[in-house]
Amino acid sequence: MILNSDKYKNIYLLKTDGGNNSTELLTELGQYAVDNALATDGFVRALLKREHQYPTGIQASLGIAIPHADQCYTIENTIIVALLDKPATFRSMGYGTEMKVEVVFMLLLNEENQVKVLSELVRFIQDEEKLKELYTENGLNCMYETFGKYL
Amino acid sequence: MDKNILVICALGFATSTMVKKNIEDFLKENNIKGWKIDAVGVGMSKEPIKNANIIVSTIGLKQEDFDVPIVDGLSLISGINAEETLNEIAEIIKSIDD
Repeated sequence: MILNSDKYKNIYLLKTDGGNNSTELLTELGQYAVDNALATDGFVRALLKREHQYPTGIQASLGIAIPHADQCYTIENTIIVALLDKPATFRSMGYGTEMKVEVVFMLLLNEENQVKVLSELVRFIQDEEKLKELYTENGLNCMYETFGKYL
Repeated sequence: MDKNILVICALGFATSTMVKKNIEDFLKENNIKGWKIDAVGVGMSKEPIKNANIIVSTIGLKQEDFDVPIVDGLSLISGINAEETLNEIAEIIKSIDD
């Protein structure tokens, strides 16, 4: 359940209770994107299908997932970050083993600027301090400073 | 003609782009020339695989299914053991170039 949502331009920072599995969580987050006119109707289905076939969990300093679907569902270039109160169970990219995810970066990107956004994202995921900062009052600002100019 | 590193992920845009950027930066920093990097989704990878000298993947491809070296590129997203992976790629490049 989404407990709190904050946004600045094309960056959303949500707090959710978590504790569920990836399907429940992604359905909720995907629907949130559709409801906010960031993605088209088929997005939730495409997101779930992709996560099932090719999971996106990544173990960095925290458990991360970067769910995304084909670019054709993107209406607005957006990053939706969800911080989970309780970790959700995802499967890990490449290996498919179960893992606990605490931070989700849901990506809605189209062709333009995606390389820059993704290059920044990979640095962000690897930066323990930045991940910690997401949980502070400065979380949204920190995301905007990193990604705002490319979205 | 440049030799080719092919990065394969599920859709060919997100994770492969992240991995590709990391390898590009590494090659540049180490002044390794004559290699070009392409990123592709697994569904579209049949043709590009024919021209690949090295394949880096984020979707757990198995070495026994391929004739060219397969490198697991996931560390280039998580950052954990990224250096080992880049060194592994450098070693393979060296063995092919020599």
